[in-house]
Amino acid sequence: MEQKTNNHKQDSKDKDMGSLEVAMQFLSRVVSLVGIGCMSFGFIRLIIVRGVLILPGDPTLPFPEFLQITHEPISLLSMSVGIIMLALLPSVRVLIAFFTYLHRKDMVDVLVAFIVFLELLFSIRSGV
Amino acid sequence: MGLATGIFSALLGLGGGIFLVPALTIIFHFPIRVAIGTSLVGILATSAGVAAVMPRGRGPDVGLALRLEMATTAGAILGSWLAGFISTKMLSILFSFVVFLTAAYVFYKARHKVNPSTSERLFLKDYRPRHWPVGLSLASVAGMLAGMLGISGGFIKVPLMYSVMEVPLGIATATSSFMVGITAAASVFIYYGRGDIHPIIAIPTAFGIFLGAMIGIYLLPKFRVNLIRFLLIGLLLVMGVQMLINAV
Repeated sequence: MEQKTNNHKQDSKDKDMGSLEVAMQFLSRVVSLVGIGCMSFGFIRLIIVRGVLILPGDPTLPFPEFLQITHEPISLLSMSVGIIMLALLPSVRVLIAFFTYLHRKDMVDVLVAFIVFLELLFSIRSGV
Repeated sequence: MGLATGIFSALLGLGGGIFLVPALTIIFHFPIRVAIGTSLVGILATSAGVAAVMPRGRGPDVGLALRLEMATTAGAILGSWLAGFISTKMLSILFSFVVFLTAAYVFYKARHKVNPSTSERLFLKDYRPRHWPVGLSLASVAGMLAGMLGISGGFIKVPLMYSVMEVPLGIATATSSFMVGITAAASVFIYYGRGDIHPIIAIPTAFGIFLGAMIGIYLLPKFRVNLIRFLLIGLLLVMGVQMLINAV
């Protein structure tokens, strides 16, 4: 009887981890595509507009200027958004892990995921 | 440059940062912090791409990754922040030291081949990671180096998990790939805020790395990896010496 309960628990755990893997892979595909799309659009537009690229070029747009989308440069904004999306993806994956562990009531893993997420939030805040 | 980096990385199981940062500073004379920022974007792109195509059931041990990431992320944030205060000369010296260490690691791998055995043994499910204090300490060192120098830290993390914590090699490798994305994300915002990421360099480099990695995976069965390893050791030694000369 106890063996059956343990097997059921293990099956449930495997199912949850399988769902976690599926969710992370789906998210990675979507965000990668959109992020790469933004970066490509911005890069190609920059080449078309400027014709010649002078290295190293301008740095990414600071975060406050993201709100000023009426200002040029659209190309730099698009490339910056693409980079930000790729940079945020790991944080979102950690968040998905957090909710999966919460659903499983695996409180140690919940705490671990929460700590890592907080650290990532701190780094985002430091950069803004 | 990104393409070559990606191919070498896939052939040799090394992160691209260890080639890319010296190449960008030595060949293109970019400031080292810009080169590091570029490398971090490349790591993020590759990590996202690998996660998108990873076969099911060959994925990382997310629980283990997150536990180690508590230490790695903290180290990465500290390393990234410190990189803003350390002189470029000191960063170059530190980087050349890591390049020499990597050359030693590649040499060790070439001389002590791990038997890949069956795929089931590489991805054994029934294991318990051990030696957590040492694991967490070394993970924080890997994170600090990653944040300071724009490398993935995989050359520390994979041996750490496999040799020290007794995690099956396939899982250690997949878990390291998962971890490098989180570690890079912890660092990249700090470089972003400092204006050390230049999209015109970072984006084509990231695309090149990703494409190169796909090509490298395709080429892997066709090459004698040990020959490439020894060529790479020579290249790493040359790059390390060049970075030292540039710093001094």
